[in-house]
Amino acid sequence: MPRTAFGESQQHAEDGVRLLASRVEKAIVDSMEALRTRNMTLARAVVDGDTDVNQKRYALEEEVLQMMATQAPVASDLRESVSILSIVADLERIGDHAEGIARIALFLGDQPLASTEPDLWVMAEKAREMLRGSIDSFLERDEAAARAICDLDDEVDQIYDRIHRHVIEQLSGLPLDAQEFDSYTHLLWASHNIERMGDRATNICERAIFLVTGRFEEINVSSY
Amino acid sequence: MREVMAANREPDTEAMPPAEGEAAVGRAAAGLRPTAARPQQAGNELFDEIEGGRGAVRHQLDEEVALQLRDVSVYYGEFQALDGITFDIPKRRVTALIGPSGCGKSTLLRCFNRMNDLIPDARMVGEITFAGRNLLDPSIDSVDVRRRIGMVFQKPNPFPKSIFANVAFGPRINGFRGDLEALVEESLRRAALWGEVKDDLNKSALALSGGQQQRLCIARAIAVQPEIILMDEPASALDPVATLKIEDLMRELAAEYTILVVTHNMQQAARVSSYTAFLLAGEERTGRLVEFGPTQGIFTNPEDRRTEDYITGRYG
Repeated sequence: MPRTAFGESQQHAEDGVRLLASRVEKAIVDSMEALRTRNMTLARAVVDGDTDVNQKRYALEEEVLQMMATQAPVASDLRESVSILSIVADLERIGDHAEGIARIALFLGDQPLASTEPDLWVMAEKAREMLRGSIDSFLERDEAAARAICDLDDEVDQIYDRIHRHVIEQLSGLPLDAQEFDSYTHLLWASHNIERMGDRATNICERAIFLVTGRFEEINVSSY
Repeated sequence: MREVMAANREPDTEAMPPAEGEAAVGRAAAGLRPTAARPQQAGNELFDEIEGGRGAVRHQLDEEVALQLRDVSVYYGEFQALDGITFDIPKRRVTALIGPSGCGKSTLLRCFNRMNDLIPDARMVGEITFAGRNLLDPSIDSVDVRRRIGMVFQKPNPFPKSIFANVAFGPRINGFRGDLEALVEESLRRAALWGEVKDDLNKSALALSGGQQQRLCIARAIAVQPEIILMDEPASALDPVATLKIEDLMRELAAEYTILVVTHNMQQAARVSSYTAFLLAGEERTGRLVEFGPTQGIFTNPEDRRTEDYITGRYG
């Protein structure tokens, strides 16, 4: 194949995106596990690991900039390079949200989370699925898959709405002590972090669609 | 194919009407005869109807057309170099012709000022409508065409004369009667060379640098007040700084002239042109149009897979 050098650096960048995404996906799983089991060591590992995620993001960004400067990609090559720059920023932010959840686990310590817990794990699983699906759709240039993943964001948002309403009802209806109050606000915080993960994954899907069609489209404008 | 040319032949000729603002320049006596009036804008249906025009992705211009190509084919003896080229070239824009070596882009460029006439056995069929006339009509006066459609070549080719004489040459042989010094200065200014040569107008043109010589050739082409300037790889023999100067100049000149540039440098095509035509030759080495459209679209999201493969370097 002609342009071997460019093909190789492109493959290297794509592998880098895949690696960063799997690193972030693990951060989501670990942070939720830490929250569920109050595993402080695991929570600490997610918080510490975020620095590594950030560094990987900047290294990838630099790699793509080098590729653009030296290889001057055009057409779909250009769209892919520009998209990767945007996607690594989204991945890094998803990592930050996982870190946020791990920090909530650390903060809560032994305290229980408020009552709608099952919803939270379902929500996190959907966000994780969105992340993986969005990256797959980008790397496989699959527009239909990207659009299907975007639909999942509605489900994530619906769960967030439910949790949000539940928390508001509880906070306004009952006489709560400080610990209970804390546990509800932390539930809200945790679900908000997951909701934002879904939005970021939607951004990645938009890039997948742009890569295939060459058009910028905003899908599922979030109300949050 | 010769029958087609014979059918186009007109018994008598007449001069082309002067374009706006060019009355000052003398004109060759013999000229072009109008062909039947044709619409300057054509819908897709027309393109589809034309044999050989099938299969190419064409952008419909919503601006003035300088040259209208319909089913243009070129033969060198038995060999067919171009097949059924059909698209519209916009007025006062830079249009780039790109494609791999041997795809016929230089051949196409040479059709516009009848340079292929100089090649024995060359035949051109189809229509290239310019100012209401078919440039491929054998009765057309190629000297008049070349005044109105100038050309700049790959290698700077100044005459072994002074800078002034180079620029003044065309207007002189065309019988220019106005202020020659003013015309030379104006041409050199437009070619962005005046500041560098104004004190040395009597110096030999051959003493200039390559980039300056190329700008002198552009000034020489401008001096006869053409409407279209053809450029065949105008910067490929120049260093990067001189190249960028030529590119800047092309963009500036496009305010007044229609510019057609053949280039192997894809980044140059992307930088200077508003429209791009991509040509490709198959195994039989006959060039065909693959895609024509706004440069921005060609370089960010081409419609034809072959265009994408070529500009991203995956062709071949």
